[in-house]
Amino acid sequence: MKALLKYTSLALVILTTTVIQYSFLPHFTVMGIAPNILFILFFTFVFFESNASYFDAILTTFTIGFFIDIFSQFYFGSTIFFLFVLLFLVKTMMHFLQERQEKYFLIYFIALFVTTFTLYSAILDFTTTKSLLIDLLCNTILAIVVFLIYQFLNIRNPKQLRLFS
Amino acid sequence: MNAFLKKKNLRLPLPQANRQFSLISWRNIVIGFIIALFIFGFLYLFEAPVKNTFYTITSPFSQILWQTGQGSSGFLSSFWKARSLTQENNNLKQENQQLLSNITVLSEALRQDQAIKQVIQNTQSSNFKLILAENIGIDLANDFLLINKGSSDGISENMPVISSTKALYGKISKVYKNFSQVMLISSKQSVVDAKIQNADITKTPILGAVKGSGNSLLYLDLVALDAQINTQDVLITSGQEGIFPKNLLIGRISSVDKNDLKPFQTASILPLSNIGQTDNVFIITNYKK
Repeated sequence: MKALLKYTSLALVILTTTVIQYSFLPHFTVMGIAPNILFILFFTFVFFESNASYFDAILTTFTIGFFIDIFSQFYFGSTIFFLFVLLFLVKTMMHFLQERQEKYFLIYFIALFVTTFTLYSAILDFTTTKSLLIDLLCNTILAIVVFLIYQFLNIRNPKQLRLFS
Repeated sequence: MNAFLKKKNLRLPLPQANRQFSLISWRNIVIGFIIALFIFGFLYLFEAPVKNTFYTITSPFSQILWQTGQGSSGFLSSFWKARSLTQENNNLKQENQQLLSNITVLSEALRQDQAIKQVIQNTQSSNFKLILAENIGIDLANDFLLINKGSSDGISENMPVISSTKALYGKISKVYKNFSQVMLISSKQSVVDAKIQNADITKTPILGAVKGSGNSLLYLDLVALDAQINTQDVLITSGQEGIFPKNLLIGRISSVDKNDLKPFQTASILPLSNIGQTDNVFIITNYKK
């Protein structure tokens, strides 16, 4: 019952984010670029929930990729596949950086976010260099804000925001 | 070594564990691969009904959010400019586009055959059978729009999508039962045959191709080097590719890039259609060259 509630709420959060991403945020653009909150949600989950089970990580990645694919004009499943590649990449990098994570947490977060977002934009959005820079800047700032909020709430109540603990 | 272990009834834990781990891993990989193949196959086969169902469920929320976003963005911009100014500016823009559309039609008619052609042109333009559709969502990264009309409303692929002021948005790229995807002219996959409407009607129009460069941006390509392009020139569809009717507004030239080392000159375009500022689009259902 608890698990069902957990996965249903997770699916609802992703669904709401998807609708906001494609129907609300396009009205708030900077040089034609809107923040990619779905990707930020994916990355934040993968980064903070590094101890979550593989099943949870796979399920979250699949759900986010599925909703992105719904609005995408590419083959259905291409975003899911690519997000799995990024999940593997982030998990691998997190594994190697684990020892020093506490010390340079934000720096690791930014570095990993920039790397994965660049890959994502270049491959799935075919973004050019100029717009990629604006896109990257806009999304990194928003991701840092999410990072700080997440960390602040986590310090105050470590169990509150964790989706999988 | 092995004899010693056997004698002491000991085992070699690490290699054995590794072997077992590797066996389990391979089995998991194969199972995972089969499951993935099954899921991707399912998604590929049932893409249209899955998407249509999803759009049907989310479209009421999407429409509310679209309208809220539109209102909020206008509200936010009023912090920078007075609200009345924004409204007035929008009205003037719309009026300006309407006038541009009229000028285009009139100029074209005059160039060909003065008054008679003008009447024919007006008749032609009013002969379009239009379907009104509401915007539901937009994929800004790839310049694709989602509208709430589909095959059940008589929509089919490659139908032109325009604004109320006859500014071109794009064409229908994918059709579902109740929804359709519109490839905007700013999409990187979009190419539209266009011409520059000269104010001087005795001059031959300059032909070129309007290509999308993503993020709602356009550029003009394949224009002969000796052609004279000026900023603020208005671009309209030439109708040569057979998908779009001629004389639909595309945009204005914002800057020209002329280089003798390149075979053609290019120009940046400021689109006349802003998808973020409208709820509705029109689909021309009866245009066939």
